[in-house]
Amino acid sequence: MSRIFRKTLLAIVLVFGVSANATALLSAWLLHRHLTDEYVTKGRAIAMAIAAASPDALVGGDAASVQAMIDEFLHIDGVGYVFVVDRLGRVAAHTFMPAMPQSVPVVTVGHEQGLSVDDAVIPDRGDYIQVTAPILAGEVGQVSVGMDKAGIWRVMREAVIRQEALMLAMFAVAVVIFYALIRGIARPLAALAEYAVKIRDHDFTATAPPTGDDEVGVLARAMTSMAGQLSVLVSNLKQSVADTTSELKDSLAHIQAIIDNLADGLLVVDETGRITLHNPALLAMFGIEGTDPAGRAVGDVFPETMAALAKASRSGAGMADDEVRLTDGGTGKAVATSFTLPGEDRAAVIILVRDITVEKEVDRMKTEFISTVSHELRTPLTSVLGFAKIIRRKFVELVAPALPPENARLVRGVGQIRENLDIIVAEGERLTELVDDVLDIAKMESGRCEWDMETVSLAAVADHVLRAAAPLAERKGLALTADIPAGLPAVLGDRDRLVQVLLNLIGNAVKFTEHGSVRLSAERRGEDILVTVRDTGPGIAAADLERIFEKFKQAGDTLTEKPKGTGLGLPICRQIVERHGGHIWAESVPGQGSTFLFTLPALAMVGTGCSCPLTLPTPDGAAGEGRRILVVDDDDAVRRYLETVLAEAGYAVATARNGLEALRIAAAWQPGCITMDLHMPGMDGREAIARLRTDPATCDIPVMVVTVASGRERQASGADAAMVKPVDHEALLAAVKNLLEGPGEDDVRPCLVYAADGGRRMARRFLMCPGEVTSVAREAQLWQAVEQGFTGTVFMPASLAHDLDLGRLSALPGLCIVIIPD
Amino acid sequence: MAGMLRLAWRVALVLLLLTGGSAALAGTPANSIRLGMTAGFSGPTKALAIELYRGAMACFDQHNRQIGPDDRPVELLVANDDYEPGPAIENTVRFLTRDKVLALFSQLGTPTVSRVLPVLRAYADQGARLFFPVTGLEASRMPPYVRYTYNLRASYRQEIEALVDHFTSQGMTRIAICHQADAFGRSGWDGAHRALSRRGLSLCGEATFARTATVAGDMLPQAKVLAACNPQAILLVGAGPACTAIIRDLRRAGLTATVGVVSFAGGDILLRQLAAVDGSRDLGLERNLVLSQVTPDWRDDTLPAARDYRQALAAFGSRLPPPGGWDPEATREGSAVGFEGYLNARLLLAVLAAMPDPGDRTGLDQAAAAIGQIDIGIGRPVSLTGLTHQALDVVYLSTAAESRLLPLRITMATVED
Repeated sequence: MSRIFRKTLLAIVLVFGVSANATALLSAWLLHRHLTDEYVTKGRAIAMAIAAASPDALVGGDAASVQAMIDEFLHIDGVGYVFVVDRLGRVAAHTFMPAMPQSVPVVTVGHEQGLSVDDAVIPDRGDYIQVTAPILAGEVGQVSVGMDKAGIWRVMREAVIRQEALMLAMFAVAVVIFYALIRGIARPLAALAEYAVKIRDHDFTATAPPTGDDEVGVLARAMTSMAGQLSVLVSNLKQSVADTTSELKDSLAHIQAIIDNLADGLLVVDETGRITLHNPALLAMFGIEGTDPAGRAVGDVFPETMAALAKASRSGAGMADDEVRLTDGGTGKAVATSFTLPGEDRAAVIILVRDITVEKEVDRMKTEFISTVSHELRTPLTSVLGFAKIIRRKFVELVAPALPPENARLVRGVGQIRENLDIIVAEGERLTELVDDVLDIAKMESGRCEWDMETVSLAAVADHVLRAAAPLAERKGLALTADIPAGLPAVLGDRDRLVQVLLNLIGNAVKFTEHGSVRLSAERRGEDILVTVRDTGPGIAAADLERIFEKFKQAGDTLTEKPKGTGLGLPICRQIVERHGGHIWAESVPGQGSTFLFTLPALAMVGTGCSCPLTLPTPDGAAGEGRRILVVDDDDAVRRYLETVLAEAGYAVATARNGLEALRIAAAWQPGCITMDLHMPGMDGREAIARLRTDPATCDIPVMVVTVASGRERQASGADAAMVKPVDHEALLAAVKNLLEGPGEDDVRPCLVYAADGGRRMARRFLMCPGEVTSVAREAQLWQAVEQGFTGTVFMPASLAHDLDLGRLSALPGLCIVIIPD
Repeated sequence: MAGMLRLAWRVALVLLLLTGGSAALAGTPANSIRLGMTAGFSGPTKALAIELYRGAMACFDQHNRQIGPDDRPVELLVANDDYEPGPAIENTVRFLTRDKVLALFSQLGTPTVSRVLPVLRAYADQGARLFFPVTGLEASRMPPYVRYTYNLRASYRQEIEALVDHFTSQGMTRIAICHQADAFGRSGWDGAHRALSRRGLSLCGEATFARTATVAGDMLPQAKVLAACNPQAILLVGAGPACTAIIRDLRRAGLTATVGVVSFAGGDILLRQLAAVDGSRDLGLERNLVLSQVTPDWRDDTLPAARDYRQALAAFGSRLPPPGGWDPEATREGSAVGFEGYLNARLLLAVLAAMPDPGDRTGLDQAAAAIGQIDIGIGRPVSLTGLTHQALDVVYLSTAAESRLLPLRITMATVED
């Protein structure tokens, strides 16, 4: 049976059911009303008939006749009972068996009422309509007729049953007719539906069912036509899809071949950290065989570095790189790039891994070579130079005076020996310098140089440089001036390297200028700071302006003229400046002088000036900025002693009892040097030094630790120089003098630097030793030098001093020992 | 079903009239004096009707055999009415119009006779008269219908009066009644009501039962209703089978009150039925029974009529069966009802003998008056000239023992309202 028929049948059943029952109910109700009326009428007629016929018998007391009469009426359909009451209210006759029930209502009706119709409910018998009529206007009595309602119900029930039966028959006929009709419609429809399902399943070979010219037929023809069009469309579509698929396959195969043949390892990670793409080179690098890592988390398959890299790239700026260890023990360089697929929100990360094991090895070999050269060249050179200097001094002090001056040839010989010794020392020094410069530039170019980037005040740098270069300029009678404006922004840079650049430029200017001046200036220009070193020398030819920044090139003809340097100074300067993000160049008008300029990116932070006035000890007028000393110690006696010693030496001295006070005074007073005790109540020396270093206003002030603290404490304090209490006041004064003023012309105390790298960093920083500087790298050499009669200042880093017998060293005469931080 | 049975009876009746009736006609001259008798030869009055017919026929048969060749024989046409008014009326009209009977004779039953009375009135212009209906109905003894009827027996009121008088004389005051739910029962109720009222009493309870009730009928509801008033005596007004059932169920229900039964219950017939339902006599149904009769004891050898009755009965034998035939189980002995039929016939014959033209109905009233005080052999003369057209005003009360009536008392019923 079709679904349409089922639905229609259901509808018919519902409609028929509702209408049949509604009709039956209505009929029943109408019938009930009608029958009730009829029963009342019938009861009334009977009651009135009895009332009309019975007066004689009642009056005559003939109850039997009355009984006979009412018995007659009892046979009438619907009559349940009859009873007659006489005028005294006694029941004269009734039809009840076995007795007249108590519940039968005995109604008294007056002649004016005519009739009374009541409902009587008699237990065990049923419901009745009781019609009571008066006999002889109620004077003789009254008759009551009970019409049985069961009769009404019985008739009603029969009527309803007949009606329902009729409805049922009509329903059956209707179902048969509907079934026939719907089958006529449903069969072609079902066939059509089957056809439609076939078309839906892309079976275009199906044929439409044969139909007539009715609506179903029109539908079938329309569907056949649509199916034909669909078939053509689908076949075209399939062809296009096949073509496109083939092209896509070719293209994909091409890309896949590229990916598979990449020498670098390729890895694509989706935003959840799961692998989506990789190539064979990558698997080979990490030694992954057999399993396909696609879909797994990066960290599960590859080293954690890779996962971290992908995460960093996803969350960070987009690019990240790191080195990873490969399975064969080699090193790979992994570069991660994050990207977002066009049209999609999903971000992914591409990681390319390149095997740089060979490059690393080459790099390592180069570093080793440089290190070897450094040691193998400089160690003998140091000895040669050191002994040459000793020989020259002994010769000048001992041999030359002892020779008779009258022997002109001897005098000339002595003069030649003296000159030759000078040349040996000069050439030795130049050779040492050259080796240092070569190593320097080699380090820089190989990227092996360590840069100690920090916030640097150019004013402080210039101050150091000028102080160092001033003796040289004075010697040549040149005016060395500086113009550094206050409030110049700081730069981010390696302080020592910047000092090296400026010193080189000023040194060159002094070197090539015979008379006139050398001027250093700095100014803000846009985002940069422009530093200029101008001289009044011979100038440089325009053709040489660029060449001079190349290695081993100097202006002029190096073959005919004696070289005045290594030829590596300016290339090193260019390396340093460019490493700081600036550039360097030269300008010159030949005959009028040269100008060397370089720029450095300025930091946004502006150097702070003094803003809080403090009551300071009034320094005497002669005491300039360079002669102020702040003494920090909690011990009153020590403080007073140091103050006395330094004041007698002509320095302006301020004192502070603890770190906090020291910070305040240092920031306001800008001393040239600070002596710092480590053990103090409140803020101790170590923290005070750290705070001084972080404040741009005080970070360049040299700090000398004067303490009784252990070597380890000195080491950790970060101070520039440390001395052990009790203080040798001569050594103290010499150290302070060197720190503040640089070595004086008269101070020719030689320096001995005990450091693993030959003390280049320390020498450059303190510039204490304008004269002879001897470097020793090993402890044995140190002892050898001092026991051979060396007097002067011994510099050593705290790390070496820690293992040295300082007591024995300080016991030797003529030695000032300065322990400096590493 | 009942209708089918009734139809079957009517067919049987017609057949009887065509065959048996013709046989009777064949044995009697064409100038016979026809009488019409309708009675309930089936239903509750079956035994009663058969006994009545037997007694009457025994008398007529004897008469027809004794008369001379010039005398007109008496022919009794019999019809069954099932103790229902409708057939009774139809039978009556048929007797009067088609069969042209001289008079109607010994119709049985109150509900039937009470409805036949108006028919008599309707046919009054044709001289329709009913002789000796076997009922104590009051209407047949009162105007307007007393003109068309002549009664032999005492009325129910008289019977009830006699019973009530007997009960009150025994000191009983709580008296209930159980009556047939029709005019017969109502007349008994009416009589009891009046009798008690005269003595300042009233019925302590009443119950009814269907006219068609049989011996097998359940009368316990009635017993329950009656027991409610704890009666000392119970009057029973109904046909034999119903009375049998009621007596049985009263005793079963534990009521030991004295039961008074009117003559319509059948007297001897009732006792036989009681014996039949109580074969082992465990219930003692004959105890505390007072039966009212309207004829003297038919076993009394001192009465000529009683001797003649038994003699005639023996002579009649089983000839001329009634509609439906003889009851094979019934005894051929006499009975009070049979004796009443015999007496009815004997008195009618006396009336007929007084008529100058026995074929003319208009002579009946004169003849009835002409006979005056006449002796029909029951120890006292009877007369039909009273206001009530009633020959006998005597009620005979009996008790029962061994299925036989034991005369208790004879009451001259002179009821005056």
